[in-house]
Amino acid sequence: MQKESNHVYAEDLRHHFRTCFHSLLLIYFLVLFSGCVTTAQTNGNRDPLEKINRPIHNLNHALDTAFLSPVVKVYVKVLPKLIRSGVSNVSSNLGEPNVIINNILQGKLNIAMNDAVRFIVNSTIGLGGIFDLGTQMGLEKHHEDYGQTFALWGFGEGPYLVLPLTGPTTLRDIPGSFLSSFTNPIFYINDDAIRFAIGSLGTLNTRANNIDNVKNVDESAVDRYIFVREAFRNNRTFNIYDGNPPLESMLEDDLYFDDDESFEGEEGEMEGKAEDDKTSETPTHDSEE
Amino acid sequence: MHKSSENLNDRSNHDHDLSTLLLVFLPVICLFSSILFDTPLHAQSKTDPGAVVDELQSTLIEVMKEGPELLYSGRYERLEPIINNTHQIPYIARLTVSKYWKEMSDDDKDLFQSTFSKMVVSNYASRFQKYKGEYFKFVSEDFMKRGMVILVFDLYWANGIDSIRFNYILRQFDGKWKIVNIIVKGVSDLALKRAEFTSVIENEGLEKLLERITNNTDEIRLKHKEQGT
Repeated sequence: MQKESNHVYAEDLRHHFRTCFHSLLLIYFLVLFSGCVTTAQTNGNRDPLEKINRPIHNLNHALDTAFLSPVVKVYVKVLPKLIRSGVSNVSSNLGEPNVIINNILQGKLNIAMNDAVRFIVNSTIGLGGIFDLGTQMGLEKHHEDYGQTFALWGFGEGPYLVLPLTGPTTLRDIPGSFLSSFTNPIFYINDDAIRFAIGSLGTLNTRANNIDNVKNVDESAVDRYIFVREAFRNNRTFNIYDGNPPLESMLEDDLYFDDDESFEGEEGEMEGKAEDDKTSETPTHDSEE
Repeated sequence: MHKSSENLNDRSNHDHDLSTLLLVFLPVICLFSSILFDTPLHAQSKTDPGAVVDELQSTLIEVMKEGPELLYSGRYERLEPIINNTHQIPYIARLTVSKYWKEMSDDDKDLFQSTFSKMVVSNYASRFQKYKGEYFKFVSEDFMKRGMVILVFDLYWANGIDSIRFNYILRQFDGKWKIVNIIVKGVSDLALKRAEFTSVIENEGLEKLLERITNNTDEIRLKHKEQGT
């Protein structure tokens, strides 16, 4: 009797949890879709959670410097580039199902087909993805994820977030992080140790590929948090547009011209502003490629 | 083509683990990283804006080929006049501090422009060290509103497969085309610097910003001196 009661209680709890989860998920998407979460940004504050994000960013950077970076240096020193390249290829290949699904969700069926063939080729004759034969055969590599798909569907970006250990993301990108794990073959390996080892190796390798880049950020950034945030956001937008954002978006007036008043009288040298109307009529040249 | 190019080093899935996220730095870094361009741009783009970009990239090619012999100081000396000739550094410097420009004294303005200029040249000299067979391929040229021109290039790695997209924004000053911004893989160098600089000024003041820029520049010089590069 007691056992049955516990069972019923557990079942109720599960049902309650599922209901709550679904409700939260629904609210999450409704809020995201309505653009409410982006209001804070459009009101002038593009990073309403900076006070929370910044300490986490600093923690992540400290952990990277103290633990990951030294390990990566050894990794690079010990393993030849050829092997590291193979690790990169395997990691990339494991993410291919996620790319295929998102291409389908975005209506890019031809590209999805291309990627499916890539995945099959690299997984078989490419020996589990060690060799990227797909690219050699002219099967172009693509990169899509759920965050890009949600953006295409009209979901707002939401606030910028920095998560412990994992780093920058946005509210819109978070669900994709979970969803993509289900399409990664590693998820279906039953052995936790193997799964952890493969995941760690992938992380290590990706970090290794970026040693010089991180050094360069250290050289350039005067505010590392802002640097990473802006680079992340810019790059996400670039990816959402598949590398072809509207050219007009690169010429925001407030970026190039909001200070023009202060320049007038000091140099009087800029011709662009004066020739505004004239040049705006200039026909766009076609690609000469 | 550009789909593969935007993912040069990113061979992993797109889970936002710590390392993957570091890839967001790639575009900005590649602007200055160890790359080379062996395709004469003027052969592809014949307009004045194209010639300006060509001048910059041709010099970078020479400097990088001689990079190991020139060392940091040699590269700096060779690049400084070219960068000042192809970029409108004073204009860019002003835009990076946005509204705070008006609040600066004349001395502060001069000091900031000078410090900023050293930072830009220093970054180029530090990162363009070696030639690894990379090359630029001209993609398009678009005349936009308010006298702006966007030149688009893809930077290909030696394998001829992976590439990264570069957008050069130019406008005219005294009849001469000058670079005012470079957008690499979607990351605007000007927008990024403006976000950083205005944040530092707002929270810690102009002095702190100048101090950080100067520190970065000094550290780059010292690092290369110690490493003999």
